Amino acid sequence: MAGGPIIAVVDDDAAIRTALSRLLRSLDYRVRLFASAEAFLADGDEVDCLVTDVQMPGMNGLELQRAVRRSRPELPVIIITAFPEAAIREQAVAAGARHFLSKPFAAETIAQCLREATGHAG
Amino acid sequence: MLVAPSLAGGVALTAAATLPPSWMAALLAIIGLGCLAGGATLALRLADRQAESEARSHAVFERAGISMWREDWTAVGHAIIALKQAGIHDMQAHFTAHPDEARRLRQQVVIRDVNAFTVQMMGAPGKQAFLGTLDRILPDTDNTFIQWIIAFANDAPFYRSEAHITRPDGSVLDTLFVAALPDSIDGFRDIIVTSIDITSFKAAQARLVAAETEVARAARISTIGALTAGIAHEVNSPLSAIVTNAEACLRWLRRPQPDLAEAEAAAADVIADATRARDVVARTRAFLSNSPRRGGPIDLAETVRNAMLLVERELRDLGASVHFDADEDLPHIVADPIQIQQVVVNLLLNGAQAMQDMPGPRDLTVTLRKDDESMRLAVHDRGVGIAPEILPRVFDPFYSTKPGGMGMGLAICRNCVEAHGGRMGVASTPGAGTTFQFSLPAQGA
Repeated sequence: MAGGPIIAVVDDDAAIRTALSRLLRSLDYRVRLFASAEAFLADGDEVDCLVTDVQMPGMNGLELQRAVRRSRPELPVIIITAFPEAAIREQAVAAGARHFLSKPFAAETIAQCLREATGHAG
Repeated sequence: MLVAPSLAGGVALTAAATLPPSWMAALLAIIGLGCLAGGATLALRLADRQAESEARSHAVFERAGISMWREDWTAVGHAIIALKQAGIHDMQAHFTAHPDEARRLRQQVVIRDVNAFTVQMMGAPGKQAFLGTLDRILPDTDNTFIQWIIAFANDAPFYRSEAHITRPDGSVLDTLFVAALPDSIDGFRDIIVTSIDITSFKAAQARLVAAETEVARAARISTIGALTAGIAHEVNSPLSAIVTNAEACLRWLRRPQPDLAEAEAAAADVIADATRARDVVARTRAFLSNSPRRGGPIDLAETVRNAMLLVERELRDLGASVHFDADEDLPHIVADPIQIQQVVVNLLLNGAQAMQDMPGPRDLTVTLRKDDESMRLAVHDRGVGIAPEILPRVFDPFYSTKPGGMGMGLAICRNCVEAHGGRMGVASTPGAGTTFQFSLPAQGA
């Protein structure tokens, strides 16, 4: 467990952050939590995969994805949102998002996405 | 005009008073003859002048660059006198309650003549196409005839109305009728009515009202859309946390070495998240029920008239004759005018559609009354009626008897009326027709 891939979870909703952290740790991932896109950009270097919400105060998830694509094009990005509009999905996929999940999602769904993104068997 | 010869005779008589009797007799004979001769000449001259004047006015009538009609409304004049003698003064209420009486009167108004412009405007082969009773020209869907009767009854000097008339080829033309009304029963025999073709104006007006309604509806939908999206987000977030925590809880428990501390923390968070979701729903309900209603005091009669204007064309196409009677000096109600207008539109179209296969007159009677503390609007059709076993279900969502109907119209209507603190109901007699009615609290009630 101690050596699993590190997943960054960026969500302004503390309940979501905590719940995702609990789930991902049960899947043997290590987890780092960020309350904003800006916090991740300042201190998110050492992660293997980024899971981000779209709607957040300040920089939103799609802007974060574009910024990450420039600085770390190899980092897999999984977008989660409560607004699964087609336009947001298209923008996310066009910007290279690996997966696009609508809240609420099943544990197995995100587990599958993370397995594909990290190659980890969690 | 016969004054001049008598005066001349009077002067002559004064002068002759001093003459001998025999001269006097002769003089009187001469004056008498002279007067007769003068009178006859004058009468001839006057007759000439009158004929000349009539010819001139006929030429004006005939050559005027506006449609003019000469009509005989004597039967209406007598009917008004009879009704007033019988103590009936509210003609609107009377004829709304007895549309067949108005229909009979319309069959007794006679078009005596129309001018050349009318023949051209209406695309008729000649005047003969018009001469005869008014009901051949003014279709049953016209609801202005009663307004004319009211204007006559109120001794109005002029009246104007926007009517629609049937052209000889069967097409319909919107027209503005204007006439000076008679001040005595004799005058009803020969009323000159002018008519202006306002078809394109009416079409533009209907498009404007439709566009305004659409804009208001679109704004409303975008507000509802934004609100729904906001609620969805607020509820989805805790739901998402609940699902994730519950799944994590199971995973921690199912491990070869179950981690009870993690599972317990997850279960505790499920409760916290569910509480949060419940609070969102409670806050939303409180917000919606306390939010001030859009729009201030409205004149319900005006809202009804706007609704009628909005669907005038559809009602006409369905062959409905709409009769609207509102009590006078009605108080305003606090309501959203667009929502109430939509309710009225729905009821009008439903009523007209219920009668569209009926052979006889398709009277759609709309009455607006003030009850104790509320206003009551009733829309009565003379359609086939609704079977008693179906009646209790007509307001149910997704219930429809119309082919292709979604079944949401009346459900939304009732919801909307109830959201305004009102009530909505229906009564129907199979074979005789249906009345949908709603009541809304009057302002200050």
